[in-house]
Amino acid sequence: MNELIEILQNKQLVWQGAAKQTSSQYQSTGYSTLDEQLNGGFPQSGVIEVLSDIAIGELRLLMPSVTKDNNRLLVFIAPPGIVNAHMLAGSGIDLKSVIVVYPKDQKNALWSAELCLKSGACHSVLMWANDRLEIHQIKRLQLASEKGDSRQFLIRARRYEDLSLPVDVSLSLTAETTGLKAKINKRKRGWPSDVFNINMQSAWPKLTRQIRPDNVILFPERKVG
Amino acid sequence: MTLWLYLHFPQLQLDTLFGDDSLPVAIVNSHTSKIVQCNEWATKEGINLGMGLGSAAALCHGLQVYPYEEKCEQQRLRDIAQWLYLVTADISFYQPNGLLIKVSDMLSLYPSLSRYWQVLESHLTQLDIHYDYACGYSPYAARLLARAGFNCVSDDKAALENALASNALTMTELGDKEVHNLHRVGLRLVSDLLQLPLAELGKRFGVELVTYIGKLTGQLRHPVEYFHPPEQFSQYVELLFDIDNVEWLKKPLLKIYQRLETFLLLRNKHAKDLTITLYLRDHPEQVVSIGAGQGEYKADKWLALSHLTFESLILNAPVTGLTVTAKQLVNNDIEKVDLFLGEQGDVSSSELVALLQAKLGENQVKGIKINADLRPELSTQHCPPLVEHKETTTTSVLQPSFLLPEPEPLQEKVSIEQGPERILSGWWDDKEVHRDYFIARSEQGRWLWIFRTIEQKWFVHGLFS
Repeated sequence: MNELIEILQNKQLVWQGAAKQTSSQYQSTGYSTLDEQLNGGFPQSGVIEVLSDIAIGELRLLMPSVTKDNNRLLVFIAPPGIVNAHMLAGSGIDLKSVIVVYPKDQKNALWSAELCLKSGACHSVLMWANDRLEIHQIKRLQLASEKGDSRQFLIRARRYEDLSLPVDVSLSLTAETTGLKAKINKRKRGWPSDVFNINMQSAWPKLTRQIRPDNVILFPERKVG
Repeated sequence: MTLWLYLHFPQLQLDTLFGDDSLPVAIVNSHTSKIVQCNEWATKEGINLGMGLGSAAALCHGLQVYPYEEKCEQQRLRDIAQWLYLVTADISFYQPNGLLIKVSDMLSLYPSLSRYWQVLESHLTQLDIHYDYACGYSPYAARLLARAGFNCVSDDKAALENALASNALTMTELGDKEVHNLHRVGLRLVSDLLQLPLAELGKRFGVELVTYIGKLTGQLRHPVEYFHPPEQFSQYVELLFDIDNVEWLKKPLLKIYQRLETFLLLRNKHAKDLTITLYLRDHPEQVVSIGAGQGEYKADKWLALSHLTFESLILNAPVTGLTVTAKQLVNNDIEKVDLFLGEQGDVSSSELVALLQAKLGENQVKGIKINADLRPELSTQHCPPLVEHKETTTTSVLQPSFLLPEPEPLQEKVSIEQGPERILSGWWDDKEVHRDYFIARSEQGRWLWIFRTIEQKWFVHGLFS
């Protein structure tokens, strides 16, 4: 019996809950609450789906993860606007290692993403994809990211498919006054989580609201406008 | 005396044509309608050189006929000279289908004449063309022997003179009239001519004949203009059949790319971009350019890049021929890879950019840079990727991650969180900006960068993603 289990284990057909992943496969996201929920951070390589509205802080959440490696390229595919060089330079990104791709359609976008991922010349690919994705497309991205030791972030407003996609991590984000409300919908080697808060007040003090105590009355400011 | 080698290419145009080798093909002079070149299959059908087009067509109904084009042969001859220049120095053209090579000087580089010929021959065979060759102690002698199909390389003076002597006068450079005059006095072979005293010949046939004989025997100096290779690559391939499918262009392209690879490798250079000119049937030519960021020389890489570019190419008409030109050659700067950075991918960043640009177009793949301008729409600019720029100081003011291409009117209820930041700039050109920027939060929790114009109109300009 033990022998059988061993054989199955060697073939990776059996997964044991007690088996802990080595932490080297995960990289810290830069936010301790999220790290805790994700068992250490985002996987080193793989496809990470972020379901979020635009401009609630989704990129700010990913910023610490994509700024870690300045020797390789950071690729933006189909961003929702013109990527602001000041913001990137301010976050410590070498602008020389940033490539922005404006594909004509999603097919070209996926092609570019796959090429960038598997090249090994990029560390992260951020792609905005607001269209249906197929399972095999995600699989391809996954294989490419493993080959090139890179990470694919898929930023989407919502899920457009009925089937669940084989992504490594799927994260839903909603706006919150002190940062973001997040929920892990799915992740490999782990369970989905409940909704939890990610506090961004220390990282982005100007883009979060301070919770004011009830007993403080504001000094009237000159009205703007 | 100097030893010369002459290479005669009897069917240069036929060898230049790209296509199926299993069909009988003939090249016909359009003025005389006589066959000037034909391949083995045509010979098997009984077609000979000099035959009229009518009788040739009668002999073989499936004969593929092409008009003779001197330009095509000249171009190919230049290519051959360029190729031979790698192993031998002094090359001179004999248009349209001959090359004269000065051997004597090269023998100080090669141990012997036979070794020299061996190198030259192996170099020539790579071109896959038919040629006749011969040595001689004067350019005319070498040319005469080569055209007669002597096909022997030796520096044995007596043997060469013997071979020369037995040739008919019709083979020489002399004009028809002169040959006719010589025939009338019973001179038919070169040997007949050489036996006569020069003074007598001069008296009877004029000084030109004497000069010719002097040049033939090597007694008179024969000035020769040598070839100097250009420092750029350009090759033309004529297709034997029209191609209307872009996919099928790959084969002839690969052939050229392989030559390009050798060309670049020998010069230790990289080509930055290639221009492919497609000559179309009854249409003006189509020009495609392919770039490879930091330069590339490998044939398969160029083929992959052109494959990507061709995906979005629509041919206006069938292609009859193509030229590949590489004008911008750069030095071979090897990309330095840090040994300690860990595992690296097999594609370098410049190769990646080249691939992306080849498929999507150059304007679709960009880098970004900071521009020293206060106006937000001008402060970030697109630039060619992977180019280092002087980092201008960024503003300490919080900036949004994305700017909208055009400011959009504000259409939702927002509460202002930060601001104002007044930007008043650009009075010197026609894009004057007078705006107060605010950071605002919408009711859904989106962080927007909005501004108010002097007319009190509100616009969204950026997103704090």
